[in-house]
Amino acid sequence: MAEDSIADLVRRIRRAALDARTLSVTLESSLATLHEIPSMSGDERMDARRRWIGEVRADLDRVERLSRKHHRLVEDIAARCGPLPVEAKARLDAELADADARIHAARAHLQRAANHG
Amino acid sequence: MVVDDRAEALELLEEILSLEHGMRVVQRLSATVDDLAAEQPDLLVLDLWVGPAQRANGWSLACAARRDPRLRDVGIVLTSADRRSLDRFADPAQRNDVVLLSKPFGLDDLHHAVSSALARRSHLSRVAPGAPGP
Repeated sequence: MAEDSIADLVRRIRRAALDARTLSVTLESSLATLHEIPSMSGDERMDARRRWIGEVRADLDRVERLSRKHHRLVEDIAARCGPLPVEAKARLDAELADADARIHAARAHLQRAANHG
Repeated sequence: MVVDDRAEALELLEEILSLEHGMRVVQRLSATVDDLAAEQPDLLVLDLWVGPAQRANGWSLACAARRDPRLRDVGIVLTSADRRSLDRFADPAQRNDVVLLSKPFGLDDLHHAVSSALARRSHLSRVAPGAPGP
């Protein structure tokens, strides 16, 4: 039971991390090509930039809430099933740390993009 | 097969498609229809604007794939930050079974687009198995 829960949680944590990276990379790609989109005025480019940053910020907020839930779930599993085996705990901690780092990097990238605008 | 002129986007799409959809992914910074046919892909993920000329190469490639009997039932996702162009392509995309995906996007958006393109591919295979090109 605990092993299934841990494997499922690892998958969900990785997915959240990948979601944060996807948002960050596709925002970067969008902003990089903004000036190459034909028939777009300066005002329209600024509007598009503002809209994309707003959309990605909302999505990253959702990913962050999900990540906080994952942290709580790790604690819940330990509370329900007793102390986790050392290997499983280390694996979950590593996945959580990787997800936190990716979300933090995406957030920092978003902030830089917003400041540039 | 993924065609995009940004290396980071290619790496990301490879990671997602292999992890989430169990696909073997071939990356290309640019491609011709013969390159596509040589790989016989189940799915094409194309960026609308690729290459130094920034022409609508992704759309041309999607249309060429649909006309080519070797590729006519491949699933196609066309991505772009240029929402105005994507809007312009909405009707022909629907007629040609091309799924449009506007950037920036999240994991669920991509997952939905890929699933939709693969579902259309299955439909096309059933409707016209081995049908010759126009």
